[in-house]
Amino acid sequence: MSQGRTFGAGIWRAHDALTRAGFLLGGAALAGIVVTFLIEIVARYFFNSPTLWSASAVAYLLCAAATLAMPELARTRGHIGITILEEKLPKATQARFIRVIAALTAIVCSFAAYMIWVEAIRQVQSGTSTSFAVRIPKIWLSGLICYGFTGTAIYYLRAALAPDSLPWNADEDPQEGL
Amino acid sequence: MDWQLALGLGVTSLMVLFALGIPIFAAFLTINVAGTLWLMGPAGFGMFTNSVYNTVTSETLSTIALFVLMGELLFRSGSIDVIFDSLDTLMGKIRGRLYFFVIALSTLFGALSGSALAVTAMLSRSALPTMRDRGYDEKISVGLILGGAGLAPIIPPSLLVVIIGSLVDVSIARLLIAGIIPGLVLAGLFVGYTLIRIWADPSKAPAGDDDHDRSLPAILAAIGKMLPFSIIIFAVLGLIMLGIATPSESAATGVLGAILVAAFYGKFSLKMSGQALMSSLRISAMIIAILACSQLFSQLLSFTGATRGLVEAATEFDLSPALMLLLLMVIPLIACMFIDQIAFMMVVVPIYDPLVSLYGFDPVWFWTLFLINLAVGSLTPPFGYNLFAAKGSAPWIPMPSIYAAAIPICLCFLIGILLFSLFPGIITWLPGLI
Repeated sequence: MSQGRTFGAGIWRAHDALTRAGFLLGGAALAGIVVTFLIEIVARYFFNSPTLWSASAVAYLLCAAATLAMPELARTRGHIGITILEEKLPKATQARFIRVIAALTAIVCSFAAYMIWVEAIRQVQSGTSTSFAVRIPKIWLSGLICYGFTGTAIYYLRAALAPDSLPWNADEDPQEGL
Repeated sequence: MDWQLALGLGVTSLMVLFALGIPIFAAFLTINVAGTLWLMGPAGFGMFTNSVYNTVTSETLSTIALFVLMGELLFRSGSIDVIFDSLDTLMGKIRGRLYFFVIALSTLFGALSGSALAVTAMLSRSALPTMRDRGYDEKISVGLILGGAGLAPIIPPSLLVVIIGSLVDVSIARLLIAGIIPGLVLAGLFVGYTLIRIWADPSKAPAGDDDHDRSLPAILAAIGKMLPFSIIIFAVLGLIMLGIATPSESAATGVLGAILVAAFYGKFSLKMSGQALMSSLRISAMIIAILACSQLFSQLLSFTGATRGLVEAATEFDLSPALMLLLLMVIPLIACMFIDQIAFMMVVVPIYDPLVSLYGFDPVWFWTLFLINLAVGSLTPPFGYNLFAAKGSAPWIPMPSIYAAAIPICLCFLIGILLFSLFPGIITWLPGLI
């Protein structure tokens, strides 16, 4: 029993570490967007030579930033919702209610991830690439989007089945990223 | 299926999901996944995936992340405290000076952050206790903080403007610039309201409540300290108005400006900038997740024929433009008392867009008015988000007092909306110059 629990905790830790690493990469992507825009402005106005790649880079970096951060938002309950009803419930009922809502969210995120996965496979089979100036296989971005929804689904599933494995009720400040 | 049934079912289901407390992105996702399966089956998987893909690769939406980052850098570095101290010095020794100080401060903070919640929380924590201790009327003080913070989504940079601009065919640059004069007019209305309250009951404004040094050198020093902030204002608004940078690029130069300002005051550190970066990633990813998951909603509306049906119905009703405008403005005013602003926008903007074209409303004027209505909704009792931000930051004030404080400010906003409706030039003149 306790071995099983330790194994479960190990899995959660590994999942959290992956999410954390993704979140940090997302931060790097956001910093990359700032740098890319600044390079573009300098190239255009100081060297009269606009880049061909900056718009593509911003699109890809934004995709990476947004999707890599999604699971971390779910881990720390950072997605907003209108929680007036939840707050009005008695404590015991509230905990059950939160788990039911988390289960519903997990189901819909899982299905969304499945839909994206099916489409991603189709993209691989047809060799679809992006339509930006710098073209890359579209599956790279679809893969990131699929990761975002899958990671989010797993966290909501954890919130429904193993709520103690998440810091949802802890007093930590989720805004402090580093 | 009738478009009326599809529209009614879609909107009602969304409202029920919101009320249940499902995260907003998941509520939209539920409707869109269900709608895709129902209307198209597996053939719609590509359409669903593309709607998410198009959103998360939209250059326009990078503006949101960068505006948030700019505000985070300024607030986390403490650079914003310089404005607080300098304005405090510059505000003359007038009766009820802290009321006017709060109006000026929240207008400036709004211009630097774009987030009403952040400004409400910050001023409720910093300025409100001082005003209470100095004998200022608490209701007027809270009301002015709410009103001033309510200007944040109107005065550029505004996240809500970028979101509207990403949903409808309107220039984001013009929409951003359009908020400047209405924001200042509304701040003027708050000043007028305060003067009337002080005139009616002078005890509401304690006299001689400060002992600041207001010698010429002190005033010049205060102005000098604020000058570096003009870098940011120029980097964001100046570059857009001069046509040098797009809104996204100007947001990036605004980030650079915020870093330079923090460095100028000796408040820049890698740790602080890292924290600002990760915090802004959280906020912007949360917003982008909502946008990505709701994008398909408007396409599904078109698919069911609801968009065309609405336009035809509006044509058959043959409402006068004034009546239609009133109808379109009353809905967000009431709805945003209960629903999150972004969630509400994602539901109604696709519905409103064809009606705006049908009635020939100037899009910059219409969407700015719409935005002001959203701002009023967010501070209107009983559920306006900003009211709870004020309560959370100033827990000693009873909720009924916060409600009472918000009502006169909402009236100021309504007077402003009436002015902007009757005199569209207040909104359209400045963007017409670029």
